[in-house]
Amino acid sequence: MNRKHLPRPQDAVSASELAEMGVCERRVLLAQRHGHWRTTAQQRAMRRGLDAHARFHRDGLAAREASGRRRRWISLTSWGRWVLDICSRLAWTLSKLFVGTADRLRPPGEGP
Amino acid sequence: MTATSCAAWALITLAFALGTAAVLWCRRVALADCAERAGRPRDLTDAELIYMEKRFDVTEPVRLSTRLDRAYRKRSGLVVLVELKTRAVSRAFASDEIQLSAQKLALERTTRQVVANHGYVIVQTPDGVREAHRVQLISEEAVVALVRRRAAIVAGLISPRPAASAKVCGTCAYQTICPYRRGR
Repeated sequence: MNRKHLPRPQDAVSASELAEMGVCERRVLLAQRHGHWRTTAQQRAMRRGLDAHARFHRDGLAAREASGRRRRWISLTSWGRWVLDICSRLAWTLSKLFVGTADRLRPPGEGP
Repeated sequence: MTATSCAAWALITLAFALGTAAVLWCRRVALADCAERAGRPRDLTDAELIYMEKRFDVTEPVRLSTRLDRAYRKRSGLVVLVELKTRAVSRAFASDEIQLSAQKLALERTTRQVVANHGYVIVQTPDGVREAHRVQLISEEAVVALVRRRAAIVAGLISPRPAASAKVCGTCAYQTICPYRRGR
């Protein structure tokens, strides 16, 4: 199970419940005694809030994916440059070796 | 047309198609990243998004369960918290300070990261416009004291204070049963 969906520890106060203390302490007590009551307008506002949060989360996920892809692309291109560099150095060294060997194997008196 | 020139044209077409696809893909990726960065507070433009909708629970010094909307790490290593709110008016309240401060306490205690003494509340108004408000956070001691005060109120040990504003009572769902309603 995802940790996000685990029930919160017993007796633990959530940050949003604690934030209610900054609005009205009496409402905190009434909510504790009678449960969470919401007016129709508050229910509508809550639904709007949930939608906005879902969109906010999706935007964040897309951005994180984008920045991850960008990082992978950068690492791929730098790795590609490194491989290209190694290959060109190897080709240069091999060609020099090949020319040197060909010179040594050539019968004496024969021109290049 | 010879077979060689046909093959050459096919290669050129393939290269062009691949190039176009690569450009479009890069553009899409860049747009998603740009859109998210554009919505951030200016202070966090080059920060890294490290947590989204992440829960942090602590049992010490008090039992707190928090879920933060977003946290960004700045280049200096400082973590800054961001909370999204949908409201009719674009402004931050004292409750936002408390919520972000509780999140700061939980995040610092859980991950040992240094969290900034300020956070941001991004308020989305009904027209869909989002505006960031900088909020100064309260100290860890103040959060702990508030948790203890809440527990004492709920246990009936101390009497609760009234709402900071009479406007709160006007929209409160408990106004019909509230014995403390302002103006009574």
